[in-house]
Amino acid sequence: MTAPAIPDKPPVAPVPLTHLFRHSLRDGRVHPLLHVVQRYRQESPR
Amino acid sequence: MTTAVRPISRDELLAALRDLPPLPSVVLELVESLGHDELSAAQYAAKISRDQALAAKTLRLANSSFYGRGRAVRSVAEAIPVLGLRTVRGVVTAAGMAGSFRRHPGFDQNAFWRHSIGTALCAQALAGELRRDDGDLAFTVGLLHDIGRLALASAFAPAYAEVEQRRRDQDCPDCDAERAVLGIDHAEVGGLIARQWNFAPAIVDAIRQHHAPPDAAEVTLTGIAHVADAIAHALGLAGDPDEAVPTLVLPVWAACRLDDAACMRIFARTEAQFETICEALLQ
Repeated sequence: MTAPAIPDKPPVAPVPLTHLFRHSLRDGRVHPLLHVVQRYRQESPR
Repeated sequence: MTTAVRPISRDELLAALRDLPPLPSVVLELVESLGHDELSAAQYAAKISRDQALAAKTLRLANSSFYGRGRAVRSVAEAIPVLGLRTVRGVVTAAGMAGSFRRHPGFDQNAFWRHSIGTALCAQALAGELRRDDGDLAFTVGLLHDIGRLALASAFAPAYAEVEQRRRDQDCPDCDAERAVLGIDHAEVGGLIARQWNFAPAIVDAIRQHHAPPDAAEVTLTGIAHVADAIAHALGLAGDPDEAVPTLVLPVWAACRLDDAACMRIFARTEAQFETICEALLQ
């Protein structure tokens, strides 16, 4: 059994939403979560 | 360019799964106890205290700035009222699992656990929003939904490195890359592992079907795992530059009947505890 090591890198910078949703956007679909997450990020930016 | 790896036969897979490291007994007992209230907080504290690593992580979380209340928490028994029994059960399960698999270069275990913890918190928040009383079970299912990825990466490290390469090169969903390289995907493998660990059938089904939940008028635990997985990816919690939001099965999403305000509450509840729990568990 191996204890989890200390993460070797800090959390990376937030990934842009257009990149996270790229699979549905590439297929020409609007993912049901896209607009609500967009609004959430505008109201609660990280 | 990747070299072809032959698909894994069912016999090879089952043999490799049998050789996976056992989960700490306290984790198996905690998962078995979900949905039952026979054990008291003191009995849980006694069980968790038997495992020093798990007890230490529980204390670290109880003393974190998010939960800490100004006085040092020195025992698991003291931590339970601070964190709540639900959180303790979830955290100990996560910590036990995180410590049970070897790390391999080529598989980002930190990103894996960040996504799993995010999905667990989101599943718990979603269950609460839907006024269900199985938030603990939802947390555990969220935590374990991708356990098949970890098992494949642990048991078939070189082949799984090729899966990861293909996923990046073709920018395709991980299930597609797994089936192309290995002939099986992590959801099916996860279901086999969950059955091997004697998890409840609802947990086994949710893990096995989290990418392809059956249509249902009512929201099932499988549907919660499916939606929570997509939300955790949409919030970008893994911190993986190749992260992508999976397709949502529309009838399952519609059955949740979540308006924007409900979604926002779920997002906020998930993110409120996320970094604190990751910090306590992943260091």
